[in-house]
Amino acid sequence: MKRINLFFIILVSALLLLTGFRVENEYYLGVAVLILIHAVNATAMNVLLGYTGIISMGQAAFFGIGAYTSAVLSVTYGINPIATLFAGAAIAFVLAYIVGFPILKLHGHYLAMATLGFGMIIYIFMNEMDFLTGGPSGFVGIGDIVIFGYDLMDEKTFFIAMSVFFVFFLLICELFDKSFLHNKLKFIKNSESACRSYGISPAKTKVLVFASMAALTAFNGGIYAFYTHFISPVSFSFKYSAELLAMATVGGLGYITGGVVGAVCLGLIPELFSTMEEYEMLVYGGVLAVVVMFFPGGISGTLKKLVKRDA
Amino acid sequence: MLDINNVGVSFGGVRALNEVTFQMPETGISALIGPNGAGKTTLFNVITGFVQPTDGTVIFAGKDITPYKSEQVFMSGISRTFQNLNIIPELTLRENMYLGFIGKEKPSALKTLFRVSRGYWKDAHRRIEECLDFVGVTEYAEMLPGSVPYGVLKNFELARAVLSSPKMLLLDEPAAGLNLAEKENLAKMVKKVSENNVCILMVEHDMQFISSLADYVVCLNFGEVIARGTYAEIRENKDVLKAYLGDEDA
Repeated sequence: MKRINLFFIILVSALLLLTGFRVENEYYLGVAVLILIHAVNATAMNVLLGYTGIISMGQAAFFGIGAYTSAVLSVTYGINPIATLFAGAAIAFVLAYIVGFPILKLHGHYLAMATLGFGMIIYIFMNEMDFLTGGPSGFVGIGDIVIFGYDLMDEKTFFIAMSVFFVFFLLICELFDKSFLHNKLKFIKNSESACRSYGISPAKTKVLVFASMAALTAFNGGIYAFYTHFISPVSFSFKYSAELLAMATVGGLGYITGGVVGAVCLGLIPELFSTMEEYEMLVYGGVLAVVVMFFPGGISGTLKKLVKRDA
Repeated sequence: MLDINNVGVSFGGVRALNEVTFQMPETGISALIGPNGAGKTTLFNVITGFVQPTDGTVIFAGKDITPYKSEQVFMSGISRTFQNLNIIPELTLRENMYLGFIGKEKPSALKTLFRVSRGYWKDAHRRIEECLDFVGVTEYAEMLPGSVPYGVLKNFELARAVLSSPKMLLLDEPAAGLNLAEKENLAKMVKKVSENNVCILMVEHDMQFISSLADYVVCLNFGEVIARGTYAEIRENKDVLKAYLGDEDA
């Protein structure tokens, strides 16, 4: 078995600690929390596309399902916020499992279109079911999460809690990346027919991976809802799925560090180019085009090659 | 070991296989030959569950495996190799080998993730070493497929196919793309596998390779069995010569 990349986990932990201790500005802490949320979602996208070969353009929908489930259950029905996170994940898991069986028989562009269609349907539901979701005006009044008696009411405490969750999440991702589960998914991505002739069922495995990543994204959606205290369908449109795809691609598809690196790079673009907001998408597209054309392994893949060459 | 009974396959209006019937001996090496388009690969796909026959049955070790999916066919004891190598380029040969093991002895995903199934992986590792050693590719185990000669990769595929201890092994054009020395080496390996009580059926075009290995040969043409018997019998068969060389030459 391969050793886990402790260097990467320690590096991320150190950066998070440094940010927690040194940064007092609430705006910057808020940006850091959002980048962590994007990083989790982009990693889920990376596991789907980079490892298993599933192109899902409906990830924003699962993110939204988690967010709305947490918002509705905690505000309308007064259920414990932590329990609502798990409820959102469970609903997304079941929904993805049901939807996954027929659509994961498709491949490439057809699969992208099918997942896009699913995302659009959920987006329409979020807009039209205003008695439940608040419709296009959004859902307001979402409270705080309380963990072990600590109310995550300000940016600092939320950042610390999110950092702990994120480091734990990275550790699980590293364990996955260095285990044979990762090899199994890459085998499925490489050749489904060969998998079947070696007793591995690509259909079952793909549905399970799709549903698990949907659950993770939905759980993260719940965290997002409790962080922002306000959600609206705009945050869960096709555009967000495309952004996650861009983050995973720029960071490096098939590398567990890819989602994190991509989320940091693309998550910072709106901040770095805030003075020229109207050109934001142009910069986004430019970065993506350069990476796809000149660095096919993304930033992580290119760095890994450089390290190997020097070694 | 394997009984093919009146198997027929139609793709729309095209009859790819028509009333194909033969019994494979319990042991030894058999070969399936025929000109291009004869239906050899379709029959392979029927046996391995990739294609459902329109008529007929496939009986393996006394069990009707006709409705089985390919995963079930594998679990029943039939392993196969592919004409195009299915090896993941970014994994070493040893890592690629594990994929031949996890399908049969399915490990728990959670135990694998949290590394608590050490006994399972120790067993897998031991079996993999045995199989790599069996076909003589141990020295390449830590290398990536791109830096290994094609002949070694063919042997590697054989090692991965026998990892699950199959009762029967199907080889799809094993000698394709190999030079003479590599073919001779592969032939030795195939013989060695067969001597370990594994029944082998191969699709092959190289007659020299077949003559050196096959105990029993079945010849297909236009989806029908036109001859069966030993290599010497098949070589003299007029229908086979006609199928390969045409009317006048035959």
